[in-house]
This record gives sequence, C-alpha cells and structure tokens, in this order.
Amino acid sequence: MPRQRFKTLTQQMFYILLTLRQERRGVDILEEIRSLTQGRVTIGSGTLYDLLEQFQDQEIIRQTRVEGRSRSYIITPKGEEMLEEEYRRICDQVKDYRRVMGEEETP
Amino acid sequence: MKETRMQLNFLGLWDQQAIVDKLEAMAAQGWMIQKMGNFFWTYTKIEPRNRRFWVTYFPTVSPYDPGPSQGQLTREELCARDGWQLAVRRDVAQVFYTDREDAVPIDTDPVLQVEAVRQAYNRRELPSRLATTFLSGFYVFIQFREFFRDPAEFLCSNYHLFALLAWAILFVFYLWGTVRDLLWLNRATRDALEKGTFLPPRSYAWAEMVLTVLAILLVVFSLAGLDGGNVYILLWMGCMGLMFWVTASLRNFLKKQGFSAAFNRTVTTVTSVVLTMALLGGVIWLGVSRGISTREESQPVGSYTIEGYTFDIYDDPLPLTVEDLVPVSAQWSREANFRSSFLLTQEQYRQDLIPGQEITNYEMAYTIYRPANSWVYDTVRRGLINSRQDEVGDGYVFTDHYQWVDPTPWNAREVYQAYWSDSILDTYLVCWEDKILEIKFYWQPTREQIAIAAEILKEA
Repeated sequence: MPRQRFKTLTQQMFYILLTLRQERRGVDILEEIRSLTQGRVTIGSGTLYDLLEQFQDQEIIRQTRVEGRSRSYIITPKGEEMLEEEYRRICDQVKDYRRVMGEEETP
Repeated sequence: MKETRMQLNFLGLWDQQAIVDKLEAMAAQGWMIQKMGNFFWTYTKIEPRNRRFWVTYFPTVSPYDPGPSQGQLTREELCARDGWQLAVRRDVAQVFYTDREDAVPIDTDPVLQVEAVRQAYNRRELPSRLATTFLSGFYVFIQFREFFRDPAEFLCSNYHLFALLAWAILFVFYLWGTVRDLLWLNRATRDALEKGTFLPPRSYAWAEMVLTVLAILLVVFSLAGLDGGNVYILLWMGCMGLMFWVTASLRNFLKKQGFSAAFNRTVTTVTSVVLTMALLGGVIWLGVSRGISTREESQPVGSYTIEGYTFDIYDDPLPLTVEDLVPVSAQWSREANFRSSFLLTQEQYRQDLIPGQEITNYEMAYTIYRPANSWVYDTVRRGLINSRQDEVGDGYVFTDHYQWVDPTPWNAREVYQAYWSDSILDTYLVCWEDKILEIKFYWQPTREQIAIAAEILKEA
C-alpha cells in the first residue's frame, strides 16, 4: 500500500496504543476508547482486529493472554516510542496552531 | 407458508454495497440470508425488520480450509461482542448483521478496508481472471487465424462464427472486468488515502449475467453446427457438470474429513486436471473416430476398390452435369455436399468417372458460394483469389495464381482463370452478382460448353 503504515499514526491507531499501555482484551479496547473520547472516536471491530494483527506483526504490541477466542494485548517499548513520537507531533501541531492564531489575534 | 426461499443471484463476491442493499431489502420483506451459493442464495423466514448488513473480507481464507481459522473466529467473536452477528460466510467474504441502529460499522479505516479487498481479490480472483482472459484471447486469435487462412471455409461454418463470437465476448468481458476491478482498486486506494472515504465498487451483475448467458448460448449454437451437434452439446454439458460436481464434492469431502488446505488443494487440483484430460480426451477421441464435420454429408449408394483402396459412389442430384455439356455416356459418381451459415452457403459438387469406362477426362468439380451480403461477397471473392499465390524462391517464381480473363463467355461481372506452373488450367473463378462459382473442368471446355455451364449455373 502507498501509505507508509505507522509512520504517522491515525487517530484510531493512536487511541488503540494509548489504551494498550494497560493490558486489555479487544472488546475492552473498543469500550475504553469510546469512554475515553466520550464517543468522539469509534473503531469498528473489524478494523480493530486488523490493526491489532498488524501491530503484532510489527512488534508494536504483544499478545499477553489467550482465553478461548479472547486475546489480551499490551504495548511494547517500540509501541511506547511510536506513541510518544506521535504525541510530540501532535503537541508541535498544537504549538504551531497557537502561535499562528496568537499572531493573528494580535492587531 | 414457506419457511425458506431460494433465489437466483448473480452478485459477485466483490459487489459489497450491492450485496448489502440486497440483503437489507430482503430482511425488510421478512427474509434473512441463510446460505450464499455461487448462483442460488437461500433465505429463511423472519419478521420483517430494518436489519443492517456488512460485508467484510478475510484475505487469508481459502476454499480448501477444513474450517474457519482461529483468526477468522477471533475476528467474528470481536464483531459479535460489538453487536454484529455473523450471518453467512462465502469464500473470503463474511456477511454480518445487526439490529442495533447505533452499532459502529465493522470497518472504520478505509485504507485497511481497501487493503483487505485488494489482498482477497489478488489471491482469489485475479489469477483465474487473467487465465481466462489469456485463454479466451488465445482462442479469438486462433479463430481469426482460421478466418484469414480461408475466409470462405470460415464464413460458411456456424461453428466457427459462433465460436469466434463466444470467445470474443468472453475475452472482452474478462478483460474489461479485470481492468475495471483494478482501476476501481486504485481509485478506492486513492480515495481512502486522500479523502479518508471508502469508495464502494459499482455492481455490473446484470451485464455480467447477460454476457455469460450469451457466451454459453453461442458455444451451444457453435456445437449444434457440428455433425451430430446434439451429441456434442450433451457430452460437453455432461462433462462440465461432472467436472464441477466431482471437484466440488471431493473438496467438500476432504474439508469435512479435516485434511489440511494444502493437501486438499493438491488432491483436488490433480483430480480435476486428470479428469479434464480424460473427459476432453474422450470427447476429442469420439469426435475423431466419428469424424467431426460441419458439412451436410451426402450418403453413398455403392463403392469400388482400386489397389486396395475403397472409394464411395454417390448419386446426388447436380445442377450441372457433364452430360449437359458433352454428348457422352458413362457411369459417374455424383456427389453434392452443403455447408451453410447465416452469412454464407457453400455448395460443393463433383462428378467423377467410375474406373473402367471407355472415356476419360470428362469429370468436373465446382463450388457455388451464396453470400448473404456484399461484405461477405467481397471477402469470399478476395479469399478465393488469394488462395492461389505465386511461390517465390531463390531466383525462381513458381506460378500459381488466378488471372483476370474476359467475362463475356460466362455472362459474369468478373472471371479469373487459374495459372499453374507454365500452364493454364481449366479452372475458373466466376463472379456473378449474387453468387461466386469456382469450377474445375478435367477437359478443355469449348466456348459453347462454357456458355451452357454459365447459363445453367447462373440460374442455379
């Protein structure tokens, strides 16, 4: 695919990794993200499964437990690093936004 | 009240949105999808309701898998926990439904969604599409080669004409379908990346169904044009049916027995190849042993043997006989054969002396072509003229061609006479307004005899 996966995280990827700082099952991730963002961010169950598989392949997260068909995951140091990088990128964007808006507000 | 209902359906595996629309409409009428076959979909009776459906793809699924993989089951479980129940699996596609109006769609990342479709398409659809495109293109090439080699023979054969049309339709259909799918995948990828939206494919189910049925009908018509055509149609349909049934049954049996996908695929593929070779070999053998022909054969009335070879004697009515031209009496074999298509009729006549007669040489062979339109007329005329070509070698030219001669004796538009080696043959190509005659005299006819032959055959 042309998009360089995981170079920059989409909103959905960002929140999945954020919730996986704590060990969670797939279905718990969905609920946690809805609750955390008050329904602003929603992730489809199919998309969540596909992303979890890809994150695992890239060692961004790891599987911790399998109970029946329910699997639990947690973020890896590599994933933490990506999350941190994305956070810095967002912060930089916020800073840029404020600077520009601040300048615009100044007559 | 019926509890189940079967419907003929031509929606493809990739007609995502069309499948969803169809299933939602059926649920609103009180029918829930139960099974999606290749052509028939089965529904069960439910209370009419507004039910939402979703089609998603799991690219690693193989039709040879003994059952759903752990990954597939995990994904289905996750979907179920989020309110989407599995309705049915069909190959790489999984169809889910929900009665919750607020359920979050299963796929919320268009890039991943397109990627799944692309992977599934490349694994399950593209190889067979490319193979069919190549195969049908090859057959179109073969048929065109036959046409250019001998246009008259080709155009008077319904078998060749319908076969060309059938293969051409299949070729265009598969080429267009493959290009269309790949273009859609590229557009969908671009939209997903740039706009963050999923571009659903447009369904061409009806067009594909009409073209497929048309191609099958043309194949049936082309086989019907063969001598004993009905036998070939039945054999062909029987072989195809047997092939599908045996391979599908074997694959399903091995799946049920729990054999691995690799083992199942190998056994089923080997079986289908062996079966194809055996069945097609049988049909070809039958054709060869019976003598495949697109000609309306005349029936012999006797035979004679010379030097161990047996020759048939015929007594068919001929429009022009040797006796019409020459006052001689002898025993001849008179043979007439006909071939006809919706474009051209070919009538072949020959009058051969039966050995042991006092006279010799008074024999002739001629073919009358009756074209349906001016294009066929010109094509046949050009083809017959070009059928004789001088052979040019190292420093020599071997003459073999038709040369224009005065058409007056034949009362025709154009007449050509054959030149071969260093001699002029008594072989003529005569072009009248509505028909073309190619005639070979085994003696040198007089101007008067030619006038009589022209008068009779022009009105024949």
